[in-house]
Amino acid sequence: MSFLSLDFLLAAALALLVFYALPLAWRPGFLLAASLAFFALAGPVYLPLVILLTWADFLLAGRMPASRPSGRKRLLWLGLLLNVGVLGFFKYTLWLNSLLGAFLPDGGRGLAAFRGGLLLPLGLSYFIFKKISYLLDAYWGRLQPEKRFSRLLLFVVFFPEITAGPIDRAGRLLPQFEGNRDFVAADISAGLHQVLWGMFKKLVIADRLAALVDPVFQSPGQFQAQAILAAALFYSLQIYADFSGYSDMAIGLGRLFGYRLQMNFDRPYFALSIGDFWRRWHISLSQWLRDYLFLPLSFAFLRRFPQASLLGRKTEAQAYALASLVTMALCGLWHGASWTFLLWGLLHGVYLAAGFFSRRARRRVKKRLGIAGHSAWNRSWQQLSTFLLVSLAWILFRSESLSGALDMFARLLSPAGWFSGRARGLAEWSGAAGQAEFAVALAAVGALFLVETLQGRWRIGRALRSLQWPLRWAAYYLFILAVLFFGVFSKAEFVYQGF
Amino acid sequence: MKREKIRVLAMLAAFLLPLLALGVVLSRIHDRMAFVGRPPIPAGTRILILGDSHATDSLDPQRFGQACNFGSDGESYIHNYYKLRYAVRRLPSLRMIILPADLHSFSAFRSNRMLVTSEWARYVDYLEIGRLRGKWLHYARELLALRLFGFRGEYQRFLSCWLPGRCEPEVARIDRGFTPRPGFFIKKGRMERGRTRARRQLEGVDLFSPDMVLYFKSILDLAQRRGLTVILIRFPVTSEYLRVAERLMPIEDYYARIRAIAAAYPRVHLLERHGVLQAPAGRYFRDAQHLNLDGAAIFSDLIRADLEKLGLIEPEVQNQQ
Repeated sequence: MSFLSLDFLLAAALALLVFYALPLAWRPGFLLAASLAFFALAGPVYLPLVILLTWADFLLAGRMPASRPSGRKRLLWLGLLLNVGVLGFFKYTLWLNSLLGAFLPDGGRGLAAFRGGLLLPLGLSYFIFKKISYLLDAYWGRLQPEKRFSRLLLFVVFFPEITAGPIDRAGRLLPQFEGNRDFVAADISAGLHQVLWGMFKKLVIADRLAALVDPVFQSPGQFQAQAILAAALFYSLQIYADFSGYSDMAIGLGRLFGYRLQMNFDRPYFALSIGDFWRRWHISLSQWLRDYLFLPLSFAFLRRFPQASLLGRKTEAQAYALASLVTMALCGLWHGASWTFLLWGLLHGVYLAAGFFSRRARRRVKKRLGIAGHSAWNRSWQQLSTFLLVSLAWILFRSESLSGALDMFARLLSPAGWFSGRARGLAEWSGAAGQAEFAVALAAVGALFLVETLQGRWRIGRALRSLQWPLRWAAYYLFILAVLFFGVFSKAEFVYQGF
Repeated sequence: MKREKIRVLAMLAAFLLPLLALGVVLSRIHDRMAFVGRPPIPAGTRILILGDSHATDSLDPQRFGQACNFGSDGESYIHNYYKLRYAVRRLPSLRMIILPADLHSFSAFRSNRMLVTSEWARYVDYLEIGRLRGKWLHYARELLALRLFGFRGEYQRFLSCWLPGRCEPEVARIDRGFTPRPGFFIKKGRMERGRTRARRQLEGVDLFSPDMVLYFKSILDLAQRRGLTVILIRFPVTSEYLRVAERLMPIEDYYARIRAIAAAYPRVHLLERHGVLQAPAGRYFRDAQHLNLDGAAIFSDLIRADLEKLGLIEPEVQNQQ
């Protein structure tokens, strides 16, 4: 059930009423029941699976504090094997089968038929990562294992987060479930603000841009390079509006119930470098990758080669580059089992490593040119170049096949691609959706950037709440009507729901 | 704390009620705008043309005397039934209905796409459909959404109708429901386009959906109760479309089943006129299965002649025109 469906909105409103009508002690239980019901709606067959997997985590983590280091490690590995095994089975078997099926006795047809008949459990990649972080934190002693199974299960299946994150940490969310939080009017107001803003991003910006972007990615061969570049730039905005819109709705929903979920975006297209971009984009995933993959990998490399200097580079640099490549490649594969996602991740790994290796050279060049690091020009250049690099990488992410992505890059890189007479140019591409549609899309993107620029200076939500109520209500009515008039209501799915 | 909760709840209700009321008003305005080009059925109408784009594009009611083309794009027998029910209550003069009996007329492709739209909500009893299909809640919710937020995403319609002079031309174009559509099906890639259309409608779906049969029979039952003559027309399609359709379905068996149903009713006639207007290729079509303006003019005359031969149209009725 999509967050944007009328069913969901009515059910959420009803759940909210019941939640606050119940005594404090009953609320987590009610929330668990609601979350399990929401999960079951997407595929009831997987309800026992998620309960059993969480039960396994509960038992394994619960035994860790009393175990010896070697025993603790065994418990951890068992837990990781279970979680990664389930993720791998559902997400990667078909892809691996297509790559390695030729070596199987029946050409991989049996496995393909079996796996092909199974749906993906709702939010699989997200809840598995939550569970892995719980196990690792318990192993490293960062948190005390949860004593109540129902609470751990609620952490795993909490309905605002289950569809597409944020991938919250047990250390943040479990204490909130423990504390009996009572009704706070400010939570309702802040939650509704965020849900509405998320709807605006998704319905008015993302889905409107999708109508412009989709035709180019579906048949790139029919478009000139300028239309491809414009579609890639628009896709950057579309996916941001789509995913951050979803995240805003999820976080706002959590807030309505009195819980503070992890922030997932912090104005990523204002980032000054690729590293900075990943500190602002899908924050819950990038922090997860940093804490549980990148840092352990880097430390493992440094422990193995403490004094080495390879190819004239110090070990720290080597460790950074290697860990970046591996982490980002796995980040790509987390999104989906395909070459395009893998290459998208690897490209970001290359960006990060190249950024790291070239930082001194760039500093020297700037010094020679007399460009101050903190100047507005320098910041704008950094923001623009980061946005362009990220947008080019999105081509791999969005393309429906590797050949499609390569075709788009080939057109961008060859002069013929820019002036091919038979392909559709920029004017034809933008005109196909209609002038009004194009103008509304541009205006909505402008509104987004305006709000985000203002957000960098002061808190808009708080400023809005400080207005007199007639003014505030008028602003809300106008905003809601704008969403209703200019939104696109034919699509209900979010891009990141598919991962 | 309890007082605080009640205060917030009351504020939310006070905020939402005017918004919902505004939604109802805007939805009604939107509904009216959606009908700018569709004037009501003229009083005294004797022949009512129902059906999808085939009927809407191909039959000019002016050639049939006191007739009105009441079809519209994408309609199935489900819509046709409810439209007929709507019309018979208002038109005591009605004597005959014309319906398409095309290759896709009974396809589940249409019954699967039973959308709740403001245009169809005027005639269609969605709650009845919901009860029949065991999806009452689904249709009730869709209907509620339509009444409250029917204007959603429709900024273009509001802008175009509020800007002076933007709505009128459509009224002038559509006369008694007939929508003249120009264009020729003579460009390159005709085979491909024919194939795409045929596959979309006929491939991988039940071609004789029980849902469609039920509503088709309901139309014939209603017509019989009211003493109406029913004319079923197999409309012309291009050879490109027909070639693909022949591969996808047993056409003879399909029409045999239609004839078997129709045989149970005394005043039902099937006119199989699909083979006309084939030369020059594409000259009378605007796409693989729709006639253009010229094709519609000739085809309307052909059907009129057929009705005369059957003795269903009096010559003086034509002369009045």
